[in-house]
Amino acid sequence: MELHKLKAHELKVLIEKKQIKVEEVTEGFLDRIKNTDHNLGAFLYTAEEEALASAKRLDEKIAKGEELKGLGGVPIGLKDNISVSGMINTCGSKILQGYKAPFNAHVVDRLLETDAVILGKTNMDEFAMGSSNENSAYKITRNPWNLDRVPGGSSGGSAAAVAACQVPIALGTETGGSVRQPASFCGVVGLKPTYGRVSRYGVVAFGSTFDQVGTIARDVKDCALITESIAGLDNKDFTTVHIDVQDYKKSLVKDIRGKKIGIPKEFFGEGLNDDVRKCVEDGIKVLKENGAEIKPCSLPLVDYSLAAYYILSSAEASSNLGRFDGIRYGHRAEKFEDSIDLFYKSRTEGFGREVKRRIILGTYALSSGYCDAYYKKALKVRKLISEDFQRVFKEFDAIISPTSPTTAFKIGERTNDLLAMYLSDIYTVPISLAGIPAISIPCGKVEGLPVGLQIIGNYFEEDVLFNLAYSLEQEINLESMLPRL
Amino acid sequence: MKFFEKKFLNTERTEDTEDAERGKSMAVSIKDVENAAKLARLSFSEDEKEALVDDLNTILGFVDKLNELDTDDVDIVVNPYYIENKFREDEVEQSMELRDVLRNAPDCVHEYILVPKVI
Repeated sequence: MELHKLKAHELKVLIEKKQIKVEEVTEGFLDRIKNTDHNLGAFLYTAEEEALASAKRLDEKIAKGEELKGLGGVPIGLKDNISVSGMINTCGSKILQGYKAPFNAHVVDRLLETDAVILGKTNMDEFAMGSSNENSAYKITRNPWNLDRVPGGSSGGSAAAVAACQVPIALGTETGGSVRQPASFCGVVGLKPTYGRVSRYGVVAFGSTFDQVGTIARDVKDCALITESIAGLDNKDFTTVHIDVQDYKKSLVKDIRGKKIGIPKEFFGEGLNDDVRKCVEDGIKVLKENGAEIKPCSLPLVDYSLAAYYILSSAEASSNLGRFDGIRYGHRAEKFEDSIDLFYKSRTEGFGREVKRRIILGTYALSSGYCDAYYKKALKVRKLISEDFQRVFKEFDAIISPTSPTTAFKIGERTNDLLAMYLSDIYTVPISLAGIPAISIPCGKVEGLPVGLQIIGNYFEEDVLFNLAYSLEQEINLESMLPRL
Repeated sequence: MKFFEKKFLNTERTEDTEDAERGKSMAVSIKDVENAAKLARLSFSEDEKEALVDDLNTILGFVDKLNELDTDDVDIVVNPYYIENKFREDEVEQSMELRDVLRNAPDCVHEYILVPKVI
């Protein structure tokens, strides 16, 4: 049995039936990371000791006759901007080199309460700014399907790790598509929950009115399993809502009769690769055969999304990243004249190029004289785009589009073309502006590279997404979605 | 710099028009970058500043399309949807371990973080 090929829910059953120990599972995946990560570069830190210690604790629980909770001893990888007490939390940046989180993020507490085993921290674009993982200050992560290609970003490490079976499940974070786009590029399932569904406490902030923790897995069932474990109210993040988390297991049925799905023409226009389009259209046919009603719809304002997004997210980032000043934690310049000079030097040495560019863009957009023209204008457009979605959701249960206009591009291909890089998020960003949930699910391959299909739902209707994604998945050969490494 | 010229021409054409007031055609200059850099406490070489001017003009040129939309009557909502402030009881909870927090400080003595002399 090749242990690493098992999914979380399969591992959970084996552990439950005492056919395998949590320690063996943990060791198996740690070995897998050891054997593959020199090619892949998905992990920044492997928590070997911590993981084996918690595995032993869980095995002792089982030996005492206790039943494990939701995640039942399954290993998980976390993006390196999610705080785990005692572990590094670099955010892919030099400015946080050597920093160790003194506390757990809310989602980490939830993972531990539900008996997951944390295997380590995954690589990412610096401060989650990027779509290819090339902006990490530490290393390049490669796409497990083709090592010359990017895994997508910014949660590229988490997506690559799951695709390469280094971990069965992982958490990433999203601001404008950072879970869905790499999930699409790596051929795995990636969910961005509704804004307010999952607490961001302990997750390093980028764009606070966008940020959301997302879940990555190799099938829909696993994705639903982790989402259920981390979702819900948290008093430390006031954006989380007092709405019950659904029992997502109930949504995992093939039957989707009566579901109305809108296909927005704006997501299938210029810029979309023809083969990707065909793949997504084939996926839509499957949903039709499974009973859904498919009709065209229109979201005329989504074309303005990227423009509004880059202003708003950069403005928020420029404010959030003000905390990295070389005083209480993180990099402090060795030589400085006074405290102001310390700020300048520490920040200038610590931040990478893309992060500085966005801080400058955001600072400019918020500065006196430009705030109304850029920041406030973008906020108003954001509201119009949200209203556009609400209009469509009066008629439809879900909207379907490609996740990204192309498959994974080559390493280095877009690093010097800002807009080309930003354009790979063109179909994910509108959803982030509206704060609604969306899932990317593999729907086929083009020239050996996976294609993601995006299902978009209304606020707090993750259950509808899981239902449709599960239905589609029944017709996808998941075995063919395992890259050879 | 084709883009800059386009913007520049735009400025001439739309001067004194409503569009200009709404922020169209504001090509970013070195001075703007220097001002933002000062506000953000970042320093750049001359080459870096020039690259930033180009980058910002590229991005803001793309952003200009927002002006095609009439938003005069649209309210501002900062979050994706309206969120009420939530209040909780002011109860004492366990704090983080001081030792773990201070371990991350670049320079400290006992329970104090050392900073350069301010006054």
